[in-house]
Amino acid sequence: MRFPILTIALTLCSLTKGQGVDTQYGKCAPADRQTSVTFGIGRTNQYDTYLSPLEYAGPQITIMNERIRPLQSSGGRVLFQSVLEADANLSRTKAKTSRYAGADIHYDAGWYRAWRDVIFKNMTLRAGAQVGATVGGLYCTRGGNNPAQAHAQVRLSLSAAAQYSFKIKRLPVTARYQADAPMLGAAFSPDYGQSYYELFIKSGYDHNIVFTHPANAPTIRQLTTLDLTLRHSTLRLGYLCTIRQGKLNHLRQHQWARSFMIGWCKTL
Amino acid sequence: MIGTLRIILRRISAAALSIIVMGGCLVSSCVRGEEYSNTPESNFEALWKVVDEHYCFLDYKREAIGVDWNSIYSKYRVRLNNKMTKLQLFEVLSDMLGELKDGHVNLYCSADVGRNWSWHEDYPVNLSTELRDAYLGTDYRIASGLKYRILSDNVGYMVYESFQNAIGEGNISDALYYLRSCKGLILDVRGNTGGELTYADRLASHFINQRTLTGYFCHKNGPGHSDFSTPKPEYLEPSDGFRWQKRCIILTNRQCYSSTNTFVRNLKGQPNITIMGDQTGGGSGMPFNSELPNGWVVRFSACPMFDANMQHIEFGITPDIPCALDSADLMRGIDSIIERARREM
Repeated sequence: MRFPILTIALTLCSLTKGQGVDTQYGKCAPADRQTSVTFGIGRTNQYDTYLSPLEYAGPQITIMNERIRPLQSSGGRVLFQSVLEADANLSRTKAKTSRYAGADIHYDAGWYRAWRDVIFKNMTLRAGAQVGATVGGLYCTRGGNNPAQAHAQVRLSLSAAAQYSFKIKRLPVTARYQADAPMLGAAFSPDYGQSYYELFIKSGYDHNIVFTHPANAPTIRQLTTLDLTLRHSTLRLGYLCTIRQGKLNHLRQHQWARSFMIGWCKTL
Repeated sequence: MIGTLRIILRRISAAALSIIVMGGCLVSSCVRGEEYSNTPESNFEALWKVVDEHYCFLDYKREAIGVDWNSIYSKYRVRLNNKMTKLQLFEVLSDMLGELKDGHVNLYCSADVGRNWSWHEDYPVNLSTELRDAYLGTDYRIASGLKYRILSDNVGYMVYESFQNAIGEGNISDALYYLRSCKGLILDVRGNTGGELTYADRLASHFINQRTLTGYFCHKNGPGHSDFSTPKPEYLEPSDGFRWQKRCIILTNRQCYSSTNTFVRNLKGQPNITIMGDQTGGGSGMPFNSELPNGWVVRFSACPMFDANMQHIEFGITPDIPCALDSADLMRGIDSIIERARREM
């Protein structure tokens, strides 16, 4: 089977009964009241000077759950969105002599003001703020007293999205672009040459909680999706591009990832 | 109508401006490493920089043994050429690292390990493992990493060959309890080149009765040679298990390195404890690993440890009673260091 994820997504999609609403473009899931599950496969490029001065690259898999609904009290003008993203990756240097194995879970909850029918009819703009957290880590198979790096972060992000519903022949389609960029936060980082033995066995705290902002941790997550309503179900295709970076305690790190996503949506 | 259009245009402008600012910030603040190619020069530069920014004894060794890392760059850079083989490059890089005279500094490739083991190779061994085995006999007891027995003059004799061999509280307590009726204990850590610091602290905690300041530790907090965190005191808590209250003589030689060096540091000067034999080998920097563009792994000292007087112990700890293995005794099957310890009891 050459495209297992596509097959699984289409199967699940066909099992998911659509509860859409009738619009001028036909019966489709409204983009501001839905839950979705998407799976992604892509590539990651990782760099962490605590572990190595070299960049590592390799495959990444992602699973993402999004939920979005309007808040009743706001008369539909304020939307609540939650995004749970889990990534796992394996990467290597060009020399292929050691390997990183990484996994992270990111959760963001956001509140948005929505403007409907902006610029064009059926175009919605959203802007708001998110609170989020990340936990995870990166393990290097090379070993030694610095074999791993822990990831832990809380953040306040600005987020904006634009979505547009249209039809291709009789097929209702909703296209969306969303960008989330942390503005304030706090992240865990060992000090420049501090060992985890000192941190956890000797309880040697030393600037291990670092205030983060776009100057020392320029980060953005961009998600582009295309929702295709096929009879009673909605198939989602997407492209996820994340740029997570940090310059904390003189340590430099980045995780650049891009994934093609596929999944399904269900109306709440 | 005009008002609505103005609002729309304002929103579009704000959105576009935000995207431009956000994109501009990201592009300008792209966090990435130096681009290294797999050439002799590039591998050399990468190695020199790893040590320059992360090795923790550059300032100390410049004062103590005259290591000037900038001069070393010039000295070894001229030995590079694009036609050199991998093993020739390995030799140059290993020689450069050897200047640091540090047993925790190594270069690993698939064919060899670059090292400078002068910390013990330049000195008498002061240990015969065959002779030590003869003292242990065949009916000695084994408590995980500890081998022990009671010698004929009612002196306990315990050997710990490597701190890489695990020991638990129960192992240590049971072994010491077995030896409780002895008039003293000889703890032989000669040839023990280190391992887990946790085991070193665990064993030492059975020889103290109160919380004890054993030394200080710090780490680099920046890439400069002098960028260090404020040293923090290290305290050793007494064990809740069986604690040795009689005389204990710890036998050392130049091969006592790394965790063993720390173990000796922890107990030197404690009541009833005597360090006997040769100076320890040192190795007070906790090693980190890094790598080169060609995949070779480099190990280096990253976090320095000090004794309770904030003095470096990188080059070893002197014994309370210096003592060497006598070659004439050796020929007669006598370990003169063990015999001296037995006489001291």
